[in-house]
Amino acid sequence: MLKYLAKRILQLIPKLLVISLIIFLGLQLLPGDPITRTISPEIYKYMTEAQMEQLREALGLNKPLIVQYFTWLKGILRGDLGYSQSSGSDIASMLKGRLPSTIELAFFGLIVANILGLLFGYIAALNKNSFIDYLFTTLSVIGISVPEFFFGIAFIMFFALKLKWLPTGGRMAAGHPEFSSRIKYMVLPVFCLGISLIATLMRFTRSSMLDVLNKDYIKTARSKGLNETEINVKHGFRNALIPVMTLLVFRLPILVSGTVVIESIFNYPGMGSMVLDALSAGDMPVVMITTLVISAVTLVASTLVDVLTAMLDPRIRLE
Amino acid sequence: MENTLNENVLEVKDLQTRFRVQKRVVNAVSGVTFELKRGKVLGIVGESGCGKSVTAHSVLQLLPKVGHIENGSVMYYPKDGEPIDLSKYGPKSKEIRKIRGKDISMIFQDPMTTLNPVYTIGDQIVENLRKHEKLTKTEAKVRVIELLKKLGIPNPEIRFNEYPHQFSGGMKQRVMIAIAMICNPEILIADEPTTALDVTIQAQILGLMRSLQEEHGTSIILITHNMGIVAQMCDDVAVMYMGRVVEFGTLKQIFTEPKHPYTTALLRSVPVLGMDSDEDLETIEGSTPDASTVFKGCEFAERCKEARPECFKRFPKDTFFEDGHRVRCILYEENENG
Amino acid sequence: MKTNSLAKLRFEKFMYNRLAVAGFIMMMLIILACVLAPLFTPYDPSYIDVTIKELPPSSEHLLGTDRLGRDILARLLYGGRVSIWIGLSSAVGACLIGVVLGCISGYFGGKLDQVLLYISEIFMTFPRYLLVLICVGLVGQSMSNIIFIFIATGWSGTMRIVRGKIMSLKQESFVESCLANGVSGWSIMFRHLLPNTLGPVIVDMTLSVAGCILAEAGLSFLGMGVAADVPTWGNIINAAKRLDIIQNMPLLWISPGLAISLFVLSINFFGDGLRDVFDPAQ
Repeated sequence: MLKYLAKRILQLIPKLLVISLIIFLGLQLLPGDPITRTISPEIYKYMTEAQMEQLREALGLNKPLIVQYFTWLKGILRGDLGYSQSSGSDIASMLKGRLPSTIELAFFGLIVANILGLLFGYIAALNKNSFIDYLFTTLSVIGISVPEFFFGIAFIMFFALKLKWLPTGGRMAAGHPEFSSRIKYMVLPVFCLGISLIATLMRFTRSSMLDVLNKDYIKTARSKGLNETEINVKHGFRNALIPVMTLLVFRLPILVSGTVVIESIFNYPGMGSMVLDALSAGDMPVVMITTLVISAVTLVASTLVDVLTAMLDPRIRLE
Repeated sequence: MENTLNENVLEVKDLQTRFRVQKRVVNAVSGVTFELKRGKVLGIVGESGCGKSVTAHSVLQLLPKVGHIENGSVMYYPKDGEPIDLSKYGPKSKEIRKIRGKDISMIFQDPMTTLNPVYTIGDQIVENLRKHEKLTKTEAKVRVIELLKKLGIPNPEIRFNEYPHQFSGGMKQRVMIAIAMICNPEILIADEPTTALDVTIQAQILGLMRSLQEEHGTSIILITHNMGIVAQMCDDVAVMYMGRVVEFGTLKQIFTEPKHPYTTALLRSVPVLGMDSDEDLETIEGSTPDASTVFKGCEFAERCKEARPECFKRFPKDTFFEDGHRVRCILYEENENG
Repeated sequence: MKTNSLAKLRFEKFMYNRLAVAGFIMMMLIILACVLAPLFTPYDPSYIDVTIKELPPSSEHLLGTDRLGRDILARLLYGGRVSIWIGLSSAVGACLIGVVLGCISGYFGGKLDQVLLYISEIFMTFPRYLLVLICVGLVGQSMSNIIFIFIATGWSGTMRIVRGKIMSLKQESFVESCLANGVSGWSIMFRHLLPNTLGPVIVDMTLSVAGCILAEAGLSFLGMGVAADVPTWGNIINAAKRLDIIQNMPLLWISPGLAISLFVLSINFFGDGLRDVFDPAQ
């Protein structure tokens, strides 16, 4: 297992490097003097041309691109993410408040989607071709087809404006940052974010479960005299879970993408809405650096799911 | 009933198993009767698709969802306790679950797919043992390792904690045998246990089954299409064709005085040691009919060399001989009558 | 002859799947309604007349008018043209690139395959929306840019399907016999292997039309898609980002939302039906 873990982490590093290189090259494509993105505008304002040239030299901005990349990367790793061009503030401090919000949203979305998706898929598979199977299967196609913002608006209309059960948006009431009072702000966004993943996982769990139930080792389990629950859960579901986890690795980036839309609908102050604000202000460095951070977090999360899959499947773990 | 005196441990009578595939109904087994004697090995032979495997699965009701027992009885006579008709309980019932793995256990054809890939083989054997006997984990482990040793698995203490994909095909089948034998069952049903294995390993596995059978006095139903294996392993033989037992008798009766034309043809199609090299092996003309074919007469008549017009018109009846030999063929009915 | 009967068999199987047939009919109806928009509405979707703004539904304006007095039904139908066109062309474009790269990767293998696979893997680990947003920021908002971006970021799935299929087909003996008979590599690839991958590719393409339409709608909803003056389903809904509009003008967001949902739903049913036909194992 340790060997597998080490292997996954080693595979993670080049991927992170490639993504950071893409972002770096993207930044180079932007018009304007790169020095404005590197130092605080407060300092920049009072600098003379000679001082700037000196600073360029010191920051290595005259060196070849590849050297610049590594200098830049070193800065990123130290938390020196550069400066926003529209507001002039430090991108790292802008992210500080936003990153946890988005991670929180995505994490709960993931958990809810997994619980419901796996459960519905399991139930549908065990009741194949029954009413409940058709109902779940049809609902799942709807869940995949209806855009999340449409669900979002409909939920706001119904649960927030009509029934007034839940707030229309935001992350917390003023002066109440504690988790318990944030829950009601999270219900709608988390559910909206999760719907398409619930639907996908449900479909996939169902077919994976049906596939596993046809396997010979289920017959072996039956021949031991185990009862139906033991057969379905211990021998069936446990195996059905493995391909579902593999799918989850690919679905994770899609879930993260969804936070952009969801945060916009529910005025949720996370990274997604930060990207959108920056984009409208034409502040590309913020957009790109934020993307870099989100992608890195997503990649790490995908690796965690991979590791989880390996824990479930000895064939991967002991490879 | 004085079941202690009963020399049969299992009596299958007029068993009919039916499959419903979409709207089609297929009689996979249509009226099979045979007896398994205590401590003996019964071979069920026939071509693929003759219903031998379905018969074996019907005993423990391990049929796929679309299949069910339509008619007949499967009487099991335990060493101590009342006889039970297994066909009267549902496939998910508590009664049948208590018997599966404990009194009657089963080995399947392909050891590559019959073991669960995510659990250690130790866990999978212990699972069966602890399901039926109240033992602590350590006690169970001791028993399992002892059996693994007996089955010729090297380093059983280490292998206990390994996963199926770390085992070769032959070793996996030994593990399957361990799962089946761990509770010392009275009956072991082996459904083509060596078909998927290399020839050299086949002999080892069969040898193991033989020695376990002799040691514990287990009765075995051995399903196979291989006449050689039958000759090597079995005490009694049931020959099946198209979902019916066409001939039933002791090994000697079947091999030295086969009565049914199908049995004769089957025996002539396998090489026998000491056979002349210029002697040709025979093939059975035609092929097995589709399982959903509706017959008016003997199912084998189409391919039978000795078929008479009557064979196509009515179903043959079982003819019983004094020595226990039994055949389902019109030729012998006439002998009896005339 | 044989392909004919296979095609017939598949057609019959497809027709047996009622949901798939219903999906196909619904999809065609929506496309027709959009293409023949002038037959259904006399209005110009972009004509602004503030004197008739925010009208409720009436016999003249079946779905009412929006904040600038434009007819919502007209915007819905003409908007559908743009949305569907973006979905179709991006999916077809991305699929073509995916097929070509997948063929190359799967057939030739080696270093090239490794590189292509790695690139596609990076694409798949990247949250696609953010990538699209960056591209929009770099190249600007327009219909052709959006299509270009969708194609550039959307080929990796198809590539992997084709690659996998070709790699497994390559092991089959008919390829060996082709090689033994002196058929060239390119000919084997395009004449013998590629046709065998067509089924899954068509299914993938159908479903990715749905994906692209959803993506365009989401992007336009955020105000980052096609320029706001061009009607698309997403752009119409964009107006419903304000709470008072959500509450007071439900038709403005419900009608385009339903249009998108219905269209994507019918494509998905259609695509699922196709999948059952081409890939019975699923």
